[in-house]
Amino acid sequence: MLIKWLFKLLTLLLMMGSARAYALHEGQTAPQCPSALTDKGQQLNLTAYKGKVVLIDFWATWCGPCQKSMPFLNGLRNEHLQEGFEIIAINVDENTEEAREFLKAHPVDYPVAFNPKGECPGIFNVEAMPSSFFIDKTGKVRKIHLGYRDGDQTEIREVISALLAE
Amino acid sequence: MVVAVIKMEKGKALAALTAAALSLPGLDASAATPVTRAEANFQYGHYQESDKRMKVQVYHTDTLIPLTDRLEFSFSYDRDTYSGASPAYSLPEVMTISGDPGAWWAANGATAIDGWQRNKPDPDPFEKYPQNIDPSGLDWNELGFYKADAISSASQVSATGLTGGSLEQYAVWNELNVLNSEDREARIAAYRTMLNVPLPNNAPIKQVFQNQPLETRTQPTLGLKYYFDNTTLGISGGISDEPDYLSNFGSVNLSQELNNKMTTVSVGYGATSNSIWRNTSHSHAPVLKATNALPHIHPSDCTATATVCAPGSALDGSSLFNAFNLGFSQVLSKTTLLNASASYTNQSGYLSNPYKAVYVRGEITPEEYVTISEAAFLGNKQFDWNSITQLQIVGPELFREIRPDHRNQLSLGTGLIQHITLLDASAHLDYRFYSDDWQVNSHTFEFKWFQPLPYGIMAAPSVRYYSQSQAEFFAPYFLAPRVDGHYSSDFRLSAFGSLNGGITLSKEFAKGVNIEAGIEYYTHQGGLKMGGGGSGDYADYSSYLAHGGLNIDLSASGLFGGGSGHEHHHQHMHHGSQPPAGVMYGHMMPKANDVMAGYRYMYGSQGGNMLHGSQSVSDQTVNALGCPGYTSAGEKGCLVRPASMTMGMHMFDLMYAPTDWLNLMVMPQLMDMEMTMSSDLRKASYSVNGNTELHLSTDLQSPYSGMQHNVFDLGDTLATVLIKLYDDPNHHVHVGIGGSAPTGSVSEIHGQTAGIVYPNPIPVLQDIGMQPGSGTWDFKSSATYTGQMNDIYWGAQFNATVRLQDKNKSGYALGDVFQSTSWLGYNLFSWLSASVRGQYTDQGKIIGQMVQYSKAGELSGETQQAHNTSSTVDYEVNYGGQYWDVGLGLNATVTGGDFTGHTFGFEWLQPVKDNVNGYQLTRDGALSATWSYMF
Amino acid sequence: MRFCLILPMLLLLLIGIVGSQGCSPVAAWERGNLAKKEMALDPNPKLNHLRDHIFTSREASQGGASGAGGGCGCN
Repeated sequence: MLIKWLFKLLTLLLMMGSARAYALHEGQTAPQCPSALTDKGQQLNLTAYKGKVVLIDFWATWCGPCQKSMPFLNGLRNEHLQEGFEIIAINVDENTEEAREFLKAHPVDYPVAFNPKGECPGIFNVEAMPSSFFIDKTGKVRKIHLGYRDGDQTEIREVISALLAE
Repeated sequence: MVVAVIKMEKGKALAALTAAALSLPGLDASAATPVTRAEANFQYGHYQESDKRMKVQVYHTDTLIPLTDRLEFSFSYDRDTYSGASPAYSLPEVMTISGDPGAWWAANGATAIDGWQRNKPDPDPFEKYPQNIDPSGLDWNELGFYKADAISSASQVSATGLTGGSLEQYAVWNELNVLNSEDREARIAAYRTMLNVPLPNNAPIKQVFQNQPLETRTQPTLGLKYYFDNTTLGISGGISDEPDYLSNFGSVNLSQELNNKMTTVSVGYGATSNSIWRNTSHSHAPVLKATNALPHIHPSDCTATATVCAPGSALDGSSLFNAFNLGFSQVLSKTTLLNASASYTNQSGYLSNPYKAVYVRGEITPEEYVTISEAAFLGNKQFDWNSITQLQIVGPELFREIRPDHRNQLSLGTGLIQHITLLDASAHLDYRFYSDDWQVNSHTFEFKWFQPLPYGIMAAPSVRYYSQSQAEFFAPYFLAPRVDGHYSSDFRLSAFGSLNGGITLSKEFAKGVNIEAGIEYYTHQGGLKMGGGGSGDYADYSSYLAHGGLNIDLSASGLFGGGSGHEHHHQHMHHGSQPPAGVMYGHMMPKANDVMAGYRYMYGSQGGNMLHGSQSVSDQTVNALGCPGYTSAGEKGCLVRPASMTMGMHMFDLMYAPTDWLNLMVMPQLMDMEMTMSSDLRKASYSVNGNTELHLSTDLQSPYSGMQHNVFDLGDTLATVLIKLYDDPNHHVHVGIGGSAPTGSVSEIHGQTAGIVYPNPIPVLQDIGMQPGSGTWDFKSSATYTGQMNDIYWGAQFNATVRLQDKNKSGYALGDVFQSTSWLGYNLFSWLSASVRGQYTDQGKIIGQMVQYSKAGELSGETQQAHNTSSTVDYEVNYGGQYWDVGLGLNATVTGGDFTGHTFGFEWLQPVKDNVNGYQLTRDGALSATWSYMF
Repeated sequence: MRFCLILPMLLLLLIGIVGSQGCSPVAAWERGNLAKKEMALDPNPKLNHLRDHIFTSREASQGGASGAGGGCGCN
């Protein structure tokens, strides 16, 4: 009896959460994201970066791999800054204050925008944390990289170099 | 990424005397993604039951290291020591001495016992003894009753600890009084009187306790976890080792994330293989002709004789557990997590508890008792134990418990975790249903609340309610034999409920250090069983658990490394390189607000010949001169000498620099010591009164022969202020002023507290060298000079330990210690240096004497503890001396990667010359190993 | 025996109802609360280890409390 019940519950639960919204694909133009506010409280304007290769990085303080990626991203950004590369980090912490404190202790050189309500990752359909969207000089999403591991560094470098070379 | 947190079944048939029963985990990590930083945990727990029952000290350390992005390594190490008393069995209270024994015996028509009801003040308690008994050879307890050795000392469990009281006394009396009459019928009738005492309905139940010798359990566990993209594979394995129980366990866990990581399904399998045996502490021939006691009924002795003995006498058991787990968890919302799990375990093999007994009436008839006693007393009867009973006899009506050799266990659990956004709190609600084919069903409800408070403090109160039904073969006592032959009176198989409540406070400090402390209270009551019907209140007890823990992020400053944070480490390492590992107080932190955590392990071993002054001496000399004044029943001199001794000190080093010229340092210590005695150096004494070196006249060696004892406990705590006096690029001078607080015990006892040597089961103090503390407040000072030029460095130190009291609570004070040392080192590479060092130590004589046992004092409650005097280590004159050593050392500093800034040191200290006071064991050498990390 | 089974069923039912009401897909960036240490299945494994130690040596029941899941769901 009990077993039966458990089984029913399991089935019910397994069926939930399978609906999937539309997805942003590689090759599409990167959407706008005005609900993310920059450090100075201005709406994030991605069109301002047209002509540059941009990496949009969704991160949060509660995400270990995100934190781990930041020193690497910072180095990468400074390395290629002169070549027209920029990283825009969009923080999705519900409590922006926590993110600001974290950045105070572990500063990064690239611009960080804050989107505590999460509209922006919704628009980008972020599927994992962290997620990196590589946008070419024309504003198209060329590559979506999910997650971060130290072993991913080579691949990320290669994509940036290729996009910069275009 | 999700971690498989499948815990393996715990199971411990023994769990016997030990609260330190195993929980054999898989991996206990709770992270849901691979850890990105290495971490280390330390934990201490102190568990104490009411009424001086079981006490357990738990030491735990573990480390979690990410080897790669996907591979995680974990190691944990548990060390528990347990001691105290544990219920052995229960029986109707009327069958024990309670209140006025005379009244009881009178009420039960046993007037002939009159002569045995003596209280101590009786001027001549022996006048009514049977004529053929030497009354001086009897062993009296406080009520003036003789304590029979009813349960064998074949286990290390104290013989006297298990005697039930009047039942045995009656048996002794019966045998002594009636045996000579040659009237078998009279003896049978006397047994019948004893065994058939009428029991009123609902007779009160009384528990009988036995002492748990101080024992240690060690459990290392290794684990590896590999993270695929949505799948995690974990394996782990380990050993749990205690003197009478050895477990090997391993597990495999697999978890799979589904549904955009909203759902996790996990499966696991674990196997545990156990070996169980009962300690034997002495080796004597079977006693067939008892002189003054109930015949020794321990069947294990019988195997060596012509007498056919009871089956399964010597315990060499094993068991195997196979556990299967299924887990399921579902993220229900941004703030809700649901989980459900099921586990099935199959246990087979020896599942009984080798130290528990049961009272069974009617298993052996009065006629059979007389047959047994005749065989034992007269030594002239052959008989077959099997025809009398299949149970192992412990005493009159007392047997070892027997449980079925199979057990199938099923447990179903579910839990809900809810974040309460308004309070930023989290609530955990858990329920578990458990059922097994021993007919134990249980329900567990648990509620935990995690409340963040200001200043980075987290408060976590929790409540747990548990209720179980009893095992089919459980009863407090059995008034008739059971058909299936299964019996247990273990209170853990009774019907009861328990409530547990507690709170844990933790605080996160900057720089990756988290400290937590908490306390829990537990109450076990028959009346708390859900729906009533508990097994009564005779076994009720309560306990508390106090615990404290420390979590260190080993790469706290390494994460955002490569920056400015590390340069001072390198610089600092070259500035007056680390002194050799064996030198304490030799290093100061040069910058204000620096914090350093360190661990120092010092290991010393002694063995081989005995020394007197600087000369090796023979065992004959040791026997003649090593134990001044010692005699036992006509035998003179040391009975044994130490054969080997090892001492390990674990020191935890926390250092803080409020200014650049002053460092504060605190060092708690843990001591781990083991000593093994030689075989008897001479004939061991024996006399019938039992207050001698042999347990029985037929023993081949004394209990001290080859005796091994160990201590694992907190040591003294050192606190020191280091003050910089002079500092230039090449020379540095500092002094240390501080002390040592007597947090270490000076009253560690031997496991063996039996009445072999002492009339009553009183704790017997281990010798001075095995006490983990000094017992006194000590003043500690040091002066250190270090210098360096290019790649060469050198240094010298003088340090002193002066006792501020002349007596600790065990009656003595250790001698003062003065030590001087100097060293020379060379930086081989930027990360590695080597050193050579000389050291001279002068350790003074002990003042005072360790408390000695006095029977008069013990009876009047003045002395609680005794102290052996049969070996050199028991004499204060055999401590202290002058020692010369040469040390060879290596220091290494990690200069790159995640562990940048960690330093390691090793040093071997080779004794060159000893000049010891009295008679002491030769030193083999000492190893020091250090780790330190500056935040 | 009947009583033994009814109780866990009721509890499961309760949890099921509570659960399904609040159930909506949780996106990867919405797991900040779930990522909190105190929201883990076993928030304090060290202490749990110690308590299990005591409970399993003082009570007849063993097992349960297994599983994995929850957490930040990071990649």
